[in-house]
Amino acid sequence: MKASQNPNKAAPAAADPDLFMAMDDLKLAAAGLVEGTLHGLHRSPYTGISPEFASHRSYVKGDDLRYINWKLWARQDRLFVKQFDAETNMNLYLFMDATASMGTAHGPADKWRYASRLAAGLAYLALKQRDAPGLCVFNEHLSRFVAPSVAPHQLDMITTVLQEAAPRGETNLHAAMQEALSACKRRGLVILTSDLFDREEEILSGLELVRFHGHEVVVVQVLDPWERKLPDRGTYRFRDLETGRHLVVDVQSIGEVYEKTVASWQRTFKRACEELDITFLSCITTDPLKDLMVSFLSKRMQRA
Amino acid sequence: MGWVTPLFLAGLAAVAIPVIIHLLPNRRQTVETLGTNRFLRLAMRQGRRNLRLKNLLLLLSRMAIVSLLALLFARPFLAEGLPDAEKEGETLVLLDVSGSMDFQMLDVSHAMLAREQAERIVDNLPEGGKVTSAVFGKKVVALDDFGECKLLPGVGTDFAAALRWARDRLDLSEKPYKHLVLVSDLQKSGIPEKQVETRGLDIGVELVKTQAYGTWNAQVSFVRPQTPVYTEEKLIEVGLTVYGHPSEAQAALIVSFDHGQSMSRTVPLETGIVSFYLPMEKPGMLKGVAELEVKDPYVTDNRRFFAFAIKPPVKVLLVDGTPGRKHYEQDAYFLDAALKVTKKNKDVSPYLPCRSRELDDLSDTRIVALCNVASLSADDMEKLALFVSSGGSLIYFLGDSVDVDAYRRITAAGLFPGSLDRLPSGADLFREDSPILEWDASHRALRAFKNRDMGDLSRIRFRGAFSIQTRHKVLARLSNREPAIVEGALGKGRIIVVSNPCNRRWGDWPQERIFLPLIRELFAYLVGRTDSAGEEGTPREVAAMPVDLEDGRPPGIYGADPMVIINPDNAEGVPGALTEAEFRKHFGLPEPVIKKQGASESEEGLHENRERNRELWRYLAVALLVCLFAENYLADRG
Repeated sequence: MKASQNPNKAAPAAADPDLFMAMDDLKLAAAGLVEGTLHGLHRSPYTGISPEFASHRSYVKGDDLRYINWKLWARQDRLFVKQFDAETNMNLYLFMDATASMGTAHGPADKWRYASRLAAGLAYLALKQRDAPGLCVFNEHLSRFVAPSVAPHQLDMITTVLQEAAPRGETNLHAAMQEALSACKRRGLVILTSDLFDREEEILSGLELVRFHGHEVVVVQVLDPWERKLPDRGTYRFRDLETGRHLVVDVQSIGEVYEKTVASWQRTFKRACEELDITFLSCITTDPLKDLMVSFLSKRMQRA
Repeated sequence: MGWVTPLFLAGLAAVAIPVIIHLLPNRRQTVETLGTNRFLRLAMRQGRRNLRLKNLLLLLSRMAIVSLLALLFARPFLAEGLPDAEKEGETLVLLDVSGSMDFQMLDVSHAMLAREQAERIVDNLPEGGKVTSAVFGKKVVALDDFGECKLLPGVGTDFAAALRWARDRLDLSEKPYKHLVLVSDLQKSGIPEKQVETRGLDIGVELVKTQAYGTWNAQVSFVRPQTPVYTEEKLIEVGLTVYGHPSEAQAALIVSFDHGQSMSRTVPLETGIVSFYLPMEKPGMLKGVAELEVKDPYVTDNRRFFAFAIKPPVKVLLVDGTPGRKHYEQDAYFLDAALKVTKKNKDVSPYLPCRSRELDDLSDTRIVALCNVASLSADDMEKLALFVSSGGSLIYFLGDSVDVDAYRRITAAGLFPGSLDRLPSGADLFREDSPILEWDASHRALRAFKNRDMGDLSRIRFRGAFSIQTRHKVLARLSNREPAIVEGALGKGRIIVVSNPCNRRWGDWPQERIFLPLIRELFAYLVGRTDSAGEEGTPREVAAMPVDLEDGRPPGIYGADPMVIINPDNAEGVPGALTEAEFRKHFGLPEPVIKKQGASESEEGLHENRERNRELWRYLAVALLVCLFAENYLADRG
């Protein structure tokens, strides 16, 4: 992590949501995020996709006690945990929306920066769990693909791609996911990080397609604070980052209706995801990344 | 509706400001980016109707705020002046018909013009309301219409009486709206000297000020004889009063008598007294008119009627009971001197005292004074009884010569009101002087001594006096409770007893300054004072009165018994008028609330620093607050 250029500037606390946004080094940010998150949890959050028993392995500190084979312990006086098919080499596909709309910034960072740090953290977590993270970055189409791997340099590759990418282009999630699926040979966990500013039916059909291919899907919607709730007063000329169109709005006159419209849209999306057995998480760029990670891991544990 | 400060209505033009702001595009726009404007459009579409309504209400509330501010400063009020048919008001129109209103303007009577003006005011009043017309001078006379008004020259003015009459009249009215119109020249002489209570004059009072007659005037203010006692050549005094700067230096003054004689003189036009000597063959009534021939603005007071009775002096028989060797030792000496005293040289005493030791022929005598007379013979008592019974007057001054027993017979004859009980000897006087302690100041004989500042009878101290037992009226008592002056009567005549001689043997009271006025008052009472009712046997009097609206008679001489002299009110001859503001201030009249209708000659001035009745600013202020709250709510609501 690059040290702060100003030594006089106080270092942000670990719980400070700006902490990981301020880090330029994604790897470091990812490591800090994950370790900080895991430190707060009391058991391994790892769960596999499939519960099929594959073999035993020696118990390591932090393993879930539910998977300890007590009979084997009784016989051999050593602790072994059951391994399942998905315990090793689970593919984690990080689908990253890098369209222009992800460039909105009214918080500590734009949505892309926020999403990329989340992705880096998830990649770090996956590698820590001996899963194989992969990356799909798409604008109007799939622009960058990193195949899942557990190789030691995999995190470097992922973070490099994430740092090099920049939000541009219009959103076409369906086409992008379709293209990404063709590169995802093995089933795994697909985590789509996007603002979901596309036609709902297009997005859902894309997600449906992903599910059809046997992947588990988690949707993390990242919004800018203003995209959820407008400021209290003022007249603004809002520029649509993808279309470039302008709209002059007196926010005081529509703030309440706007907020309700966005909330309604999110609820609709969430219901649709639940119907597809897709985990839906929503956040804004001012939410602490750590809280988002905890929420994600909790959802995973619940699901398991 | 009226406006106190109508200029602020120009502020209504500022209502355009919120409209312009509303129509102007909002230039203060901050450019921001969003991932998508889709939800903005959705929200705007959904809230468009509400937004339009809200913006419209906001615009209207802001326009209302600006309008209400302008109206608030303009201070509207509801007209409560002249009532209209819907309001059912009552209007009093009071026309000043005092003497000062009666002068010529370009050969037209100003009083007539004022009356026509009042008629126009009445004609221009809206139908439906009640109108009362009245004229006023010193009193107020209601009329059916001003056409009935008879203009009397020389009527005095009393604004206070007119305003009180109007107040009382309108207090009785059940009409919701009341208004008073006063048509007058607002002459200063109509203002009372003391502040007059004007309670209840909280109605609209409209002043229609007519023209005053000018800045100078000459008047014949009085005509009088120097003395009412007959002399062969009578001095008549004519008083002239000139106000301001006359345009002429002199004028002819003519005194004309009813018996045909007249006297004239050219006199300078200045305040003063002009004397005329009129030869008179015998006593009698002098009647006539004095006229000043001058072209002044107010001519009514250039003439003055007069009538006075010139009477012969009253013959008083002074019977001296103890004539001394020296004249000043005689009992009648001081009395004689007191009766002869006159105020000025060439003046004639109204009394003709004759001193005698005997009761002479009483045929021409009016009063008999018995000064320390010891007794009366039977013939004298009979003579006196007839004299007094027929209307003559008798006065006793008791002294050391008085025979108490003889006076018992005089008492029995009814000629003495009481009985004498004690005769003090020359050496047995009071241990100390006994002053007059109390006296009946309500009695006509002693009315002049009502106020001690005018005459203190307690300065009279008797060293000795008779004790008189009486049931008759005691006019004065000494400090030892003994009567000092007693009054009695016999037939038509009066009898007075003074329990002390009119000399210096029983006190020094003849040398007191109070002696002369007391003697003159007692003798005047015995003769018979001026009394409007006229007592039988007393000289006929002349009643003087000013021109009166209710009486209706113009200046002149009327009647014979009693004779009435009517002259114009001298106060009307004093030029000078108040301004409307001064008049209002003097009587505490409220300002008018509306611009009056009908009488277009004068305009009421509105005073901005005084609140009108029925101003609407309170309601406008409440409405403004409501609009401010509404605007604030709509603006914050979003």
